[in-house]
Amino acid sequence: MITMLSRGAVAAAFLSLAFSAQAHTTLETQRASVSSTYKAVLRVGHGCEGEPTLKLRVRIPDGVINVKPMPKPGWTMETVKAPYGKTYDYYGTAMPEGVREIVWTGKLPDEHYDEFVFRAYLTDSLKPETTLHFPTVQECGGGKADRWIEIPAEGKSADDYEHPAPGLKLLPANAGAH
Amino acid sequence: MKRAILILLWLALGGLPGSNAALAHAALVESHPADGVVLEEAPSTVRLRFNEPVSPLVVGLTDARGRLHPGLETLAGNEVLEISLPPDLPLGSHVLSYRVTSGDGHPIGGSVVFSTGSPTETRTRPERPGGGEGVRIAVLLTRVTLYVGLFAGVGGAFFQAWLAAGLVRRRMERWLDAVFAAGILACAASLGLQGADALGVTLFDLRSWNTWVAGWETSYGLTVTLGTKALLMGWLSVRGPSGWRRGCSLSAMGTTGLTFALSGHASAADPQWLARPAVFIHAVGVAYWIGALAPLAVIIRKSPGFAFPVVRRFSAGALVAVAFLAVSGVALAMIQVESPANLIGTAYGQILIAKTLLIGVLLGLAALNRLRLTPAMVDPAGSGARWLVRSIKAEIVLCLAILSLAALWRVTPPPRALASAAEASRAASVHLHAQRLMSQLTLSPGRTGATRARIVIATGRAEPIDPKEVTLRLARPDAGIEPMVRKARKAEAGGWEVDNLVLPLAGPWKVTVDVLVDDFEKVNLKGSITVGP
Repeated sequence: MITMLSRGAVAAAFLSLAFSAQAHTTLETQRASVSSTYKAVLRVGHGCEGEPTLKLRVRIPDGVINVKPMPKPGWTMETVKAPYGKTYDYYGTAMPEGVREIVWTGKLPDEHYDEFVFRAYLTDSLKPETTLHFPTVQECGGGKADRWIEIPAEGKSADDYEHPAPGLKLLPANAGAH
Repeated sequence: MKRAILILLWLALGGLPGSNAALAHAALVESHPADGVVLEEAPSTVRLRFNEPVSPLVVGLTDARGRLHPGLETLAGNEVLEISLPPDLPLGSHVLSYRVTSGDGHPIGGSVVFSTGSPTETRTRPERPGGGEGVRIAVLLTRVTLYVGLFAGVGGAFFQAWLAAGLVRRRMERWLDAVFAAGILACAASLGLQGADALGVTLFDLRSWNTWVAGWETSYGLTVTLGTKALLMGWLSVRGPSGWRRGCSLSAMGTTGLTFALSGHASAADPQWLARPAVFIHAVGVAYWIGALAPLAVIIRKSPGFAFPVVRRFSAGALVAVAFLAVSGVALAMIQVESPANLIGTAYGQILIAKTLLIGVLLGLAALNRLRLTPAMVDPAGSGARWLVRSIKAEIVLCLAILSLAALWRVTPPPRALASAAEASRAASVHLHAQRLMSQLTLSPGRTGATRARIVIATGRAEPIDPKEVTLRLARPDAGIEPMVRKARKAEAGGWEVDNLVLPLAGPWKVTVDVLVDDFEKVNLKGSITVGP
């Protein structure tokens, strides 16, 4: 009886852990090498306090160039282009500016799940063994918004925050299957 | 004889109704529903928890439509009041207003706002008007009469029984009976007046039974019980055999001391172990002195032949009484006034100065009586006795003035209480710093209970910025209080504000100010702020 109960408790704890991970807006692939092309899949598990998601905005961090969002049926897509602040070399091509923000506009009810995809190149200016963050704002009906923009301070992890920004662990170049 | 006295004393002490009188003003610790909360459905009851046992005086609710529901059914259990709310409250914000009294007899009031459905703007916190001048003057008059009854009456009976035994004077005893009757009447009347003052109603409302019940339920009920007891004891002690008289009058003196020691500003002061005994000694000393004056004057005038030994006996006791009065008086003054500057700066201090001056004159007269006029009594050629009577009459007038001044203290809080009130209303503030931003968070008042927060945000170089959103979180993890999260509102005068905060506990609170600088950047400023009790 006791073991059953404790097993139940453990299972419940795992479920709730899994559930809280699901509840955050996160990246599907959370490890990638620098100097490689990365396919980002943003997973949106719910709306904001029951309200449907109407807009998803992703801020592209420094050192990430040649961003190509994937169009999404039923959603309109815009990009905000701006200078990078420095010129990057993309296979011999100089790139001084590009996409800094992606905006998807549509409707995703709270009870549904969806994914938002873009592709980008992780330049070698990024430091391996650090976490790269893609601050994401989920704007919902009723003027509500969930802002997945908290970047953990040194010594803290994403778990210490309520709304951590989706993170990507950077690996040294060629560490992956590239 | 001795045994009779002991039994009487024991009776006087044993009859105290719940003498666990509380020591300071009460304050609301928490409420369910909490202040400012929005509920889906109207609750059937509201629970208010205070920091000490309280009794309810008036509890009413102003609902979202502005309708007043007075006199809600209230269940009091020590610190907790459980208030039954009227059924079918409309949607919107309701104001529950309460007025309670705590151990020291001071009524305190407050209100809790909660909303059903969604908050509405009708947040009128009804102000309860004070009892008005009429009530206050009547309170003072009855108080002086009660003082006269207790000091002149009980003290007089003591004098008759112990110092002038055998010199029984019918007229004196009739006079004492009258004093006791006036004292008991004043005692009873002051109960209703205290109730009227506590409820904030007018003299007109004395017709209502509730007013009297309210007076009884304040700690003044204890004062009235003990005062009446002392007066009845005094009344008993002017009849019967000598041993009975002595026992009753001694017991009456003790009860008089307790009457004052167990209620009022002075007895509520810290340290209690000093304040209460000091008040007791002071009251007994005053009764000894004042009680003797009128009978002395009568005896000297009517039976000059027997007067000399009586005066001598009184005089010897008076020396001791003055010493006790002086020591206890100075101790109490030091507790209450705290610093010499408060003597001039506060009404309480000014009354104390005036009282001290009058006492100085009184002591001068007493010294004159003792050193000059009493020896002159036995001088067969002198007119010492006549002058002594005149001097005693002057003393009586002075004593009345002093008692009136002391009664005025009823309406002037001592600097001790003023200081703690000012301390409590002071704001608490903390500077929070992160890499790029800093913020100043101020809670005013910086104590438990309802408060409001003000947040000013600037960059690390003190340049003002205009963030999109500011959120305040307050938590007490050590006390199991999860963060209270409140969105701040942009203040017109710059900065951000959070209204309707209620902090249930004193001590260090963990604060976090979340600043949304722009859509994608959020800064958390963390720190700790100490909230006073």
